[in-house]
Amino acid sequence: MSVPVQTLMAFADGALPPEEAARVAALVAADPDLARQVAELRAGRAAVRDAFAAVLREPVPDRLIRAATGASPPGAAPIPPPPRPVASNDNPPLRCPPPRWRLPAVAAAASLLLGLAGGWALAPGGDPAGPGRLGRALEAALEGAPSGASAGVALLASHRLEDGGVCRSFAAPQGEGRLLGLACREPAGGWRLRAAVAQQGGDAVRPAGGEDPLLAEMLERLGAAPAMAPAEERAAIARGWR
Amino acid sequence: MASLASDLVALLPRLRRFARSLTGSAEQTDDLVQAACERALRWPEGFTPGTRLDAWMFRILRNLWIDERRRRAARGGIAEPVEDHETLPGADGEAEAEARLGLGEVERALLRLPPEQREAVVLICIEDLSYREAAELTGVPMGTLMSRLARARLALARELGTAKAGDA
Repeated sequence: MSVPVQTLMAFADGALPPEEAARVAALVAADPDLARQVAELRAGRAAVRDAFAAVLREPVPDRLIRAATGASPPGAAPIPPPPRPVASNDNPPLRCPPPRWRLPAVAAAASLLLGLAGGWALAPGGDPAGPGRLGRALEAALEGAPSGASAGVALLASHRLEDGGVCRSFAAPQGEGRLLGLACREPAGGWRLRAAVAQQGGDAVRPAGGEDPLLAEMLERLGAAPAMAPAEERAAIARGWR
Repeated sequence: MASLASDLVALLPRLRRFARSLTGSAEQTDDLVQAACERALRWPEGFTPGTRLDAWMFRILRNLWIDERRRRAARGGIAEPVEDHETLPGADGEAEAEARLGLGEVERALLRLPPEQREAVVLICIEDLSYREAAELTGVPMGTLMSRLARARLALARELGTAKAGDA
């Protein structure tokens, strides 16, 4: 007995209502040709499912982040410029919208960060150091300050990466909340901002930076180890993070 | 608009995968994603809150891709990069080019499908849309969409199965 190929496909995908699925299952079980078609339909799907997974892990080009936030590209119709996103251009991509990624807050946060970073280059091809590079004051804190409470920018934790690199989370007061950032040390020296997120108001005690979902995800993607113990961090600072 | 922009940023990796699997071209991928984001932000009212943002963006990107193919065809250019690719002489050179471009066996098989079959495969098997969502997105009846998809999957399975048997 013949079964339309669309029905076989819906059966293979588990998309048939239970009764019809049972009916088709009986037919397929009794007919090797139908069984072969179902197997091929499944194989066709399985073959392509992960074929492009590597694209998800590629760095998203900066120009796309600008386009997605409406930062007007040359020649495009004028669009009111919304704020620059907080993730820098060479971050591993995020799987889903981070829950606390609120753009209005981030707008203020980003301007604060710009003040903090004092030269976080955003212009296309503008700064030879590249986008995401931080200003000297913040770089100095990242390079030499131990993690712990501070009145201004506070370093929260340091994480060793699999490749021997290091990333540090930091917090800066911002309005009634704070801005959390994650910066990683470049192999040649200097620090690059990898992610930042604004946290709203003091309604609850905030967990440490590494526990923010966005920063935690970024750390996971970077293959970061748990936060260093204070003694380990002191030693790493003393060695210049090597 | 602000939340749309932040959602778009988060969606960029998937938009790139979608564009790459449709076009098979790294160059076209980022151009298409950029154009789709610009178009979306220019007409944000085209998005109905509460519906799937990914499906809306896929629709915009897919329409841009179709426009681009039509423009290329009108210019007498090559509509599909893979056709150009396949005319490359020399098996070794071709294999090397494929390795450099990251084009695997599966991707090449996908790119050999007719575009309307390919987009059905991409939407359902890679991006996990339902038959209905993919039919709405491409503007074809669900039966047509399912028929294209089934033919494409059988072709992929046979081509890849044959290729494997040939290699062995």
